[in-house]
Amino acid sequence: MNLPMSLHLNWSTNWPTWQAFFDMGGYALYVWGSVLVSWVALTWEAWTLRQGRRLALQRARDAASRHPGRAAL
Amino acid sequence: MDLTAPQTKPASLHRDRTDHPAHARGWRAYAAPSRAYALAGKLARLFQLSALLFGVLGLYVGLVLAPTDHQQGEAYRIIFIHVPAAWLSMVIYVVMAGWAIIGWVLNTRLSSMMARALAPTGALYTALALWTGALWGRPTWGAWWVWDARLTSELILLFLYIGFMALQAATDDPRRGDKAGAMLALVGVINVPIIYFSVTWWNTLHQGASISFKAAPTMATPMLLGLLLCTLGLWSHAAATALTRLRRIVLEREAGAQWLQQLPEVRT
Repeated sequence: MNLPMSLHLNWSTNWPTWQAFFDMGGYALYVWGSVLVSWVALTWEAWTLRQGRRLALQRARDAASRHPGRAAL
Repeated sequence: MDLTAPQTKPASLHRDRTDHPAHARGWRAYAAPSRAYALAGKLARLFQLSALLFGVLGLYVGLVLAPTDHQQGEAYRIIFIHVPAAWLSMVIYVVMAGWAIIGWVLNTRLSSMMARALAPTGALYTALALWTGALWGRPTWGAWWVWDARLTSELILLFLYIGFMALQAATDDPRRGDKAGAMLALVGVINVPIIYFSVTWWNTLHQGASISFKAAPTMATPMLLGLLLCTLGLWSHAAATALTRLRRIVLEREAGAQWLQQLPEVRT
């Protein structure tokens, strides 16, 4: 069976030193900048979701204490 | 009317058949917000785990194991974030529009809530695709931004997401907002094939598709593996965040419903 690609993987690292890894061949600003901006964005989203859930739960508790058994909108 | 008196029957006109799980069998029973709320919680935790697993593994393969590109050097490694974000920005829009239209046509509130839950994540991924694209464009093209067909149509996608969210947020009646949003989402779907085929239809600075379904991959195996793992990771993350947001929307929309008042997290 002809596989579309070789399944053989070289599991050795591409980098001779940690310094080379962090330098990214002179493109550190762009590569690590992309990683950082994505991490910040996803963390911010997770934080807003957590805050939103906390607020929604509080409102649900308030609604439950004011109008127990009221129908949903 | 005494609003403090407990009611035994739901009174709102907005409620539909799916509110009564006994009317729906099999998977359709999950169209009831009460059941979907519980299921979304379980699924979100599973997707969070797979997002972490695939994300870490994908970034390890992409940033540590994958070889240097012979043309772009190490700058190409932005692909492991940029391409999954760009793919997901388009996929999420289509899925969001699908749910919005189902909610409009079948009058199932949960479908419209799902569309609302997907929009912020889709917008965030679009913004990420644009931002990481700028970070990739600068070292390879010499420009952060060009008014290129691919970039411009992706920017329009961001505006469509923002428009969808703004329209719904500006409408007081949630169901009217759902319907207005569905109409906008439906019209905006035309932009998705334009984004995808823009690199073929027009002369652009943007490179062609990274992976084609018609031909064998041209990139090295670790590059392709890293890309697929990162895509799976981001896909799982999108599912986890959308389901978590769906639970918040259900909490907001159903606040006061009897089933919700019985939840342990609301009772405490």
